[in-house]
Amino acid sequence: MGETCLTVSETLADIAARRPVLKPVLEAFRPLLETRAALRAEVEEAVAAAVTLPAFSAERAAQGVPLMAGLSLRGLAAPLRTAAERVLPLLCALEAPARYKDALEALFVKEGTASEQVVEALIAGNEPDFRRLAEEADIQPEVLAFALDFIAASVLRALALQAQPAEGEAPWNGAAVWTQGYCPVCGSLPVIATLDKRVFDEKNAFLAGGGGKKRLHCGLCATSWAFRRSTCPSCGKQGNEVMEILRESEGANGERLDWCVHCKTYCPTVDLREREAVPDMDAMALGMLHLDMVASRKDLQPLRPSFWNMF
Amino acid sequence: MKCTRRSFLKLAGAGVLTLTLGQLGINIDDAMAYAGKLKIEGAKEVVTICPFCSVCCQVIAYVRDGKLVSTEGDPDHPVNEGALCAKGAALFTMYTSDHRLAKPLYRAPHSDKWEEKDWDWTLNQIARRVKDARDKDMILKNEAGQTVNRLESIFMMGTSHASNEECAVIHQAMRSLGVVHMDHQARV
Repeated sequence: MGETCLTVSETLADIAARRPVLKPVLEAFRPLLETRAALRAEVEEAVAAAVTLPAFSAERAAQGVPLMAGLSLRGLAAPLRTAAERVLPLLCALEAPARYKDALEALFVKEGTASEQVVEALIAGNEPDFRRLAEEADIQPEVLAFALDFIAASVLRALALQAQPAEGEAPWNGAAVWTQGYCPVCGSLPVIATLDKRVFDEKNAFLAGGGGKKRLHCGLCATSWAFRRSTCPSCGKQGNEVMEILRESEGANGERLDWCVHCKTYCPTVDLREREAVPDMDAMALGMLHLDMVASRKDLQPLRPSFWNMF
Repeated sequence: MKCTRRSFLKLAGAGVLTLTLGQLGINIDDAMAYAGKLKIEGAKEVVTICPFCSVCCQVIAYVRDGKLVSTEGDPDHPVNEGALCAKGAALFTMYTSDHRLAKPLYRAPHSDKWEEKDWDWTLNQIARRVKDARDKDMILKNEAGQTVNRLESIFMMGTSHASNEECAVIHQAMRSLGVVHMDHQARV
């Protein structure tokens, strides 16, 4: 029997029902999260026509090189424009991006390849280029990065679909193929992790448990990959005295923070064994901001700083 | 373009360029107050081995303030991939169960009561009875007159709680007494 997966709005509604105090924050970003989720399918064809991901190579993966490393994104201007036309009106309803409405439209909606260069700089981690391009576009770099979280992410998620197998485990989840704490497809650090649900094995029906395998979720291209429980995805330390958890004493509903005692970095984690349905991971990452606040008080740093976890 | 792990972490990864909810015009005062009132507990994840048999399933133990608070199968261990048998799944109760004996109990012949005894008395009793049984039942030669030096009235049941080294010592001790009947809890 397949597992039930919740949509963005179902996930946010579930969180708001349990924690009404978070509702104003969740509602503010619901249209953006819903639009990004819908855009992936809408731009998939145009993205596939423009850019092809290289085939997965176990050798490259063993060296820690993500699939999109060094990939030319020329040709993505059109799907980026499609995404921007849907996202920008929602984005500019928020305070900081609203001040750059014209500049954001000029960068993403007008003809040209500047938007492709910006996304290439983001993927390559080329901060000087990114800042220069933001300056040329007359946009505050932080605002541009925020806009890319929705515009570029919609397109990169469609691109990342090319690497997903039709069924079964993704190639990077093979034994010791990809051991990095960053995304095997785009190279981003994860925004959230899950622990797998229990698996019932008919051939070994007397066995209890199973599941609990950790998977990290990329907030940019939405790829998930398996990762060792006893290893810190940030500093790579491994062992018994490395990872600790923080959770609510009662009613945690599988929500917890996994943090490294060495580098003081944390990643929100959802234990799916404590949940009926699988939530939308992007909505869930936002919906765990109360634990981000707890972590902030304890001087822990988010693995991937985002607009909801910096205070 | 040359790509290194570090360069990936700069932008796409570390997201150093980030707006805050405040800069986006979202008021989070109520959420902050709510988070401040949450009752939070922590635990350390410690990887260990299930003590019950030689399969060596790996277990993740949650430890808080030096005390075990729960256990689960380790999904990253190739032997059990997170699964545990009924005994392994009940590992936590071995630590917490009220039925677990913490002191030696002795029931005298024909008595219906258990008495608490100290370890010195208990170990002396065991040594005394092993010696008596060996002195009484030791078989030096078989019917053919061949030397066998065996003791058939004592049976040794091994335990998964013993390490390899402890098992080796126990085995040698039993052999030195002439004990030939030995088995292991994990096998029966």
